[in-house]
Amino acid sequence: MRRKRPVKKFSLKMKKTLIAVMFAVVVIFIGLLFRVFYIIETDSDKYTKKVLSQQTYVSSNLLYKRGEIRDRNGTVMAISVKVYDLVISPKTLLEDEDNREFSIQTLVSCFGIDRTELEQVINSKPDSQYYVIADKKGMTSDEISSFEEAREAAKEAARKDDSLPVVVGAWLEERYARQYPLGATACNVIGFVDGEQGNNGIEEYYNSELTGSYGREYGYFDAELNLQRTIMPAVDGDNIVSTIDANVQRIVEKQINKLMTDMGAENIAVMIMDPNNGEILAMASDTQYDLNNPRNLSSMFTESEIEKMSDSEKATAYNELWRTFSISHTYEPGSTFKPFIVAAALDEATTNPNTTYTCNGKMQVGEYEIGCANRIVHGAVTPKTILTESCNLGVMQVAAGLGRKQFYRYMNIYGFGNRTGIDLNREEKGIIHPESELNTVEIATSSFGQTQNVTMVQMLSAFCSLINGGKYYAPHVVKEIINEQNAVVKSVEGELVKQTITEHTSSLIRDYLKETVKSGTAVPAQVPGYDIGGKTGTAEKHGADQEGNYIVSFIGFAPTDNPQIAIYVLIDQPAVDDQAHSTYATQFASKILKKVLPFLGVYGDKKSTE
Amino acid sequence: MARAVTERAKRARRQEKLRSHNYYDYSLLILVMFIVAFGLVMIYSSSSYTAQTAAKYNNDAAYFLKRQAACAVIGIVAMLAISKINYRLLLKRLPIIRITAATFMYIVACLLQIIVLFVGVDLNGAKRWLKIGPLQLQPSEITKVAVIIFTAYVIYLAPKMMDTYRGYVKVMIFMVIPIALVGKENMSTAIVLFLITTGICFVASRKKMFYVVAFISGTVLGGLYLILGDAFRMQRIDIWLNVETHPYGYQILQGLYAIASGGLFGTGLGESMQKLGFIPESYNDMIFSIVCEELGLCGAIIVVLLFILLLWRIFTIAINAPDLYGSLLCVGVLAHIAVQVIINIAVVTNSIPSTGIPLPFISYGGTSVVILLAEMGMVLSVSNQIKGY
Repeated sequence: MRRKRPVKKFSLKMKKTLIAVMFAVVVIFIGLLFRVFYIIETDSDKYTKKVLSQQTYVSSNLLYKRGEIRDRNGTVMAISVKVYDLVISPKTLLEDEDNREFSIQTLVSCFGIDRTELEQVINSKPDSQYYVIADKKGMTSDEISSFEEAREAAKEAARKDDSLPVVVGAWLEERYARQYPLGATACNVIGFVDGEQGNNGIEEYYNSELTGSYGREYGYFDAELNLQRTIMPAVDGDNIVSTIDANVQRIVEKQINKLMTDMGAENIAVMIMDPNNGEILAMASDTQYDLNNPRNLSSMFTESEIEKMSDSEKATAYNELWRTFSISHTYEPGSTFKPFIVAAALDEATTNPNTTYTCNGKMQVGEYEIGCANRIVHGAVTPKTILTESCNLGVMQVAAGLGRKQFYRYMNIYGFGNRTGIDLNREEKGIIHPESELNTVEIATSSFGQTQNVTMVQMLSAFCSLINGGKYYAPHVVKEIINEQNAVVKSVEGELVKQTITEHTSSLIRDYLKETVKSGTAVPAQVPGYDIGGKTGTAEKHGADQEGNYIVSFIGFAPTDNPQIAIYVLIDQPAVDDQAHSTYATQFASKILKKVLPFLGVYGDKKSTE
Repeated sequence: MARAVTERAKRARRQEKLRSHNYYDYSLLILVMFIVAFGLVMIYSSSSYTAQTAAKYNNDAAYFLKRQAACAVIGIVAMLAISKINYRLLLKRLPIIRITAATFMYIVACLLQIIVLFVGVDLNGAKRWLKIGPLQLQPSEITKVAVIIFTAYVIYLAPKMMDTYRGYVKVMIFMVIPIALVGKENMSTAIVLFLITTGICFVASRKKMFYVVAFISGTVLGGLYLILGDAFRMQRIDIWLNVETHPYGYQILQGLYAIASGGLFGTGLGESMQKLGFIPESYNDMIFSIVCEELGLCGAIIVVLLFILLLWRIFTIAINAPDLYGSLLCVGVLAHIAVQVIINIAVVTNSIPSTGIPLPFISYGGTSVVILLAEMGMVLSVSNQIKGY
């Protein structure tokens, strides 16, 4: 066996040295931490100033331009324009005696500022290095050109001759300002911008697409300590093309405002949609505000009232002013709901076009006695006459035949009680009876559109599917998103969500509704030269103090053989003695359609002019 | 009765087995993992903006994170593997070539340094990278391990010799080759190599006077070199002294802003302003300034504390190592990490003139993290040879 060599060991002396080394290392570490602490203690105040100066010296933000919003024909509805603010530094102006007089003189002559006022500002803020002249904010490039030229000329002259003065302590800052050329038109669809955040409408829903990113210019030193300048260009936001037709929107708003002055109502709202793809062509209500001045409450309150308002009262008032009626107001629709029930029953074959029902003017349902509108006795009715005559008792019997399960299933298919998913925020869901509570009475009242709440967008989107062959398209207000190079980033084609009813049922409904306008309850909705189909609604409002208050409405489409547009008109509490007449709505719809149809390229049919 | 006896015997045998079971420093292992994970978080925080905004990084915010994480995984696997191999194999002669593994490592490192001088990838005007297929590595990092292994080996062969200055000279005769080769392209790493070697010799020597004399004369000579030497190095001194006014003090000054703005508790993870283009390559050598900005003085204290704990574990293993060679290896690793942490933080806080040394485990750098983890594997291997009690 080989002798084992003694193992060489880490001696005691070495251990002691290592302990000393370890100790020294810890001491140095702690020393470095004190150094960090020292930097924080002494330099944190100085730091704020340094950061401000480096914003202009080493690095600067490059502005991006927020995307435009255009209507379907390319009309600009929202645009960002470069504007300039005049900034002065009173401190610099006071310190630099050689150039002071020349600088003030240039400001006075180029901007037409009052000299004494300017000197007052300078003297009252001797330590300020940044003061924005309130009167000279948001100037266009034309307004600043004379100043820029004068400044450059003085600089050039001073380069040749040192004794000549230059402009100091005054400069222009550029920024983008959001402008809405159409003012209040389509205010609910477009929305406005607070700082960089969109508020309401497309501005809010598509904020991230509209927002670009800031660029940056900065310098750094490479390994050889050479200064490298790098520019990261700003990226402009994407442009958005809306489905809205600004002309149609304007006509609709004009008509609403006219009716509001002629007759008056609690609310008036109109929606127009393309039934073949879910594009919303117009969406308006009587609450309108100027997008260029969204916080002006003068349309709702007097000057003195506004002054007295607290912040929370103002916030409530703003919410009221900015509210998009068509998506956030829920209400009981009334008889415009009947086509949905008839279509469902036809689809499920619980009724057929020849089935007859009897209307005696009143009927006992559970513990209640429900009457037909105005206690009219319609006698024998078929699904067709139920719609043309708007017979409550008939539709109640059709709904009863459909039964609880199918009734509830169709409410879901049509999307009632659910959000449509329109590309706007603050959409409401409405309230429908849950399946467990759909008893005889609820089915009966729901069938003619009472005791359940819907939104306009729910009604019109589902209605489009009734008349277009059963195709439910997602309603939307944006057609395309285009980037700064004009390439299409995203194109919103009609998104077919589901099939609600069959093609055949749809054609029957079209026929019934055509007859309703031709000879039924919706005759006043006729437009000379056009084949119109549609259904009226006169809904009782429920709740305290709502006795005798009605919502009258009309939902329709044109032309009847190949629907190109669908329209929904709603008048909440017309300011008349006897509100319960759908005529207000049908006449109003007729007026709008007459003006709008030619604009949308829907042309009349010679036959119906006779 | 007989049954009870066998039971007792069994238990005794099991306990015997436990007692003789080798030790393994799990606290060191967990500490290392934690620091690496912390480093990844900080790299993601400090690099995501740069990566996102540059097309050359595919506008992928996680570009640097992914690459570093891949290297960290390779490093951790290497560490675990190495920790299970007996470090004494380094003293064994290799077959065929008949030289010890330690000497072999030394020769390979020198060769790699020579190769990189000729075929190295030119980055920022210095040839520091070797490209092998898709892999890019920094031979100077490999040289660091080789220097630790070989210095410890030379001393191990004749520990008595270290008691006179001859021992140090002898070690330096070997070491001057790799140090000079590295120093040609990368002065700061050469300084680190020199300090590692000197550190090991200092611990192994019984006579300290020589080192004191050498330290003083070295400082004087170094100072003269800087003043009389090329303008480039003199400029660094100038920047150091006038960081606020010197136009080239930019990077350091921005780092100081970051530290100052962090305050006691920092601006919050991910909230750094200075990483947004102000501190160039903030995920690299300057990462400590981002730690200070985002996590404040508290974050800085925690990072330093983590390193102290790490060094403490290595120190404990060095003291308890079964033989001199294991101890010296640990001393070398300890010196490596301590020197880099000190130089890095000192540069970031402008306590010394600027020089590019990464913060171990935390700064971005694939080769660096793999090599450091391999070194930790070596230390763990030493710990594994300590007999249990």
